[in-house]
Amino acid sequence: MRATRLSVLLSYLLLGGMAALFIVPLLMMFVGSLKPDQSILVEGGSLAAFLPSEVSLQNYADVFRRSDFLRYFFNSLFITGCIVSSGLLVNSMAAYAFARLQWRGRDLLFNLVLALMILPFEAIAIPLFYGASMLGLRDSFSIQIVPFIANAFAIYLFYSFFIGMPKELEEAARLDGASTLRIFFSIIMPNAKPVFASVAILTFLTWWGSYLWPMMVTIGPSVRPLPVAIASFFTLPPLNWGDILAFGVMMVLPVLLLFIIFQRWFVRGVASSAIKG
Amino acid sequence: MRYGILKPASLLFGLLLIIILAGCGKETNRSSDEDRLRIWAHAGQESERTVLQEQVARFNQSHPKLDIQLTLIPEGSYNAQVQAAAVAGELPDLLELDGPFVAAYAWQGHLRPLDKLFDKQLIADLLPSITTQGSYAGRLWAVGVYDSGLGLYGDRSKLQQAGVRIPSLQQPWSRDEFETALQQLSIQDPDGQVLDLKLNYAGEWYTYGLSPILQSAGGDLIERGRHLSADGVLNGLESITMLRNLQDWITKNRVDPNIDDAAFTSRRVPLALGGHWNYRQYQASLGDDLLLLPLPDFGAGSKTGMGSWCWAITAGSQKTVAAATFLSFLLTTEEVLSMANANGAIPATRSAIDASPLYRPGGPLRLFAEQLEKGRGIPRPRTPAYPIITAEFQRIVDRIRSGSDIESVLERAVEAIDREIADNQGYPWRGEVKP
Repeated sequence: MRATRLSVLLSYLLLGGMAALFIVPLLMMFVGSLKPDQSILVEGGSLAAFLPSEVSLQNYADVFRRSDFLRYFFNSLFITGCIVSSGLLVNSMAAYAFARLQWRGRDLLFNLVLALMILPFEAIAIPLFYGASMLGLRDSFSIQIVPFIANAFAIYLFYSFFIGMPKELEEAARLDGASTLRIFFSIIMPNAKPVFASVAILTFLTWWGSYLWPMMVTIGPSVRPLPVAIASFFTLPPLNWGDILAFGVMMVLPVLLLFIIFQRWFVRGVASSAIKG
Repeated sequence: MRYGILKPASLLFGLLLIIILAGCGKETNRSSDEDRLRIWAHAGQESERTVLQEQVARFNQSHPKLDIQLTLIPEGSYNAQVQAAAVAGELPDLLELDGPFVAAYAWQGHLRPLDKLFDKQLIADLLPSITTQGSYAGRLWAVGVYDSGLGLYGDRSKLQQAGVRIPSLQQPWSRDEFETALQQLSIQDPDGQVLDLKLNYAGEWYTYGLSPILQSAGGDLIERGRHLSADGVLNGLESITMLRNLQDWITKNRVDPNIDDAAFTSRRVPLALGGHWNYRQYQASLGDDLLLLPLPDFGAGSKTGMGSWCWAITAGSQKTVAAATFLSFLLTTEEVLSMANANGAIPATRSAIDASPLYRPGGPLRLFAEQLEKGRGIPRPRTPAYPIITAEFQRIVDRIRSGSDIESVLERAVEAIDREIADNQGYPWRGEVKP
């Protein structure tokens, strides 16, 4: 009995420690964004980092004064929104074709798609960059969206979910005369909300914070996303850390909101799809 | 019901169509207008940005046949974004560069020499540091409208209380005098920390602010003849001795870590290594007690840093004359002063210095200008290998701070720098220059 209690206590301690690892930086960022610059670094190494002594929204006002935050926010929202919404459609349909339809070369192509999952983006960044340059697509929204709509990992997640769905539903619909498209939109999609939520959140997280590619292909402010725009605050030292943290908070908020909204489906998606490993 | 299933599909396909349409057109204004001059600059301090935008507006107004299109790029990602554009062959007509990177851009063939585009009078009016930092392989590739100043700020009252001599440009502190001054000042100081080296800045500051100390001791980052090796220089006896001194100041608790960036303004330390950009804040805090001093002479003369943002015309530009006209406009005394007054930097021309309230004879920052006029500024190495040199030097300072063995740290750095240079066959000059 005592051993069980001890193991529960240890588990809680371990989990609490792990949770703190993730929460502490976010909390420091939020509290820091409300402090004057001088206090942020001085108090950074103590408990005062989590207790704003002088609360002010000045840093937030500075962000709007020093940068065109709303434009960059819209740019990021547009780019990520397009990748997520188009990606959900394209990748789920591709996965359905791999999971359910019979066609020549299906398995070979699916294996090739799976092989793409092990390629990090950095490995294809340079050839992609040259391709974009040759096509004259640099400094546009499309070059930040189109290459990332189709995604091997998303296809794999959808595939894992679809392959586990009972075939009877589809067979019944087919007997009633439903076409493949109709089955996909009327039967598969409504029953696969968790995996759609999971893929949406994971894709959003990946591209909302993406820095390398937009940095390589954009120049002008009209297509500049938030992760590149924050670099304007890294000027000659001393840096205004309060402004940087306030920018960071406003950049992170949509991700948190999205996660909170889709949390229920996301957890179900994680539990039922291949994310659980 | 029959069309019900098509609703989500058509919505999503509609969205795809929007994306494609959005991608068809360029979001930036890419005019084929022959009178349009494309310019990229770093989005630095707010005051600099505002002045540059005003200058562009003034130029456009006074030159109705030309249209300057200014794009401001975040400073933190500027070099990476410009390099990417250079690889893609999409550089603008006129480009702002950080001084130490001029050699790399010139060597890569992205720039056009400027020496024949300006009249000799204008070039003769430039501070020697401006032409030095902008030159590479015997040609002038870039000119700045301002330069940077580096020196020691001092707290007059505290130095006098400690009985420390106030040095001058003609008679800077010697190594022994400086060490004695630190000792005397620390006796009076509650925590013994009397020097701010701006260790909180890190990054490029280390190379800009601390390498003149190395050079003053007779060391350097690399051999300055052909810039082919750091061996025997960066790991030479002079460098080792000087860096050991630096490490001693830190380990003996003479240096304030300056986490709050207020070591000098809160009068915790009486000496602060700093640049022209610190002046206004320091003046506001110390008033008449503020002193501007040259760096000590550690054996090979007092040295200082130099180099800042500068302008270059790109090799691919078809509007060389228009770009040179705009540059000449920026270099008029009025325009140089408007920028220098905004950011507090040293005006690039002697005429503007004479008209500057901060830098003319008797001005509070005169020492910064005099240092550069007397040739005490040492350019950061003008070689395409500079990015690796500065990265290694920054690593050296970090390791020195953490108490590492200096000789082994320097050996490792020299090895990395020399390997990079050898990998690039010593960066042979290909002479691909458009006249």
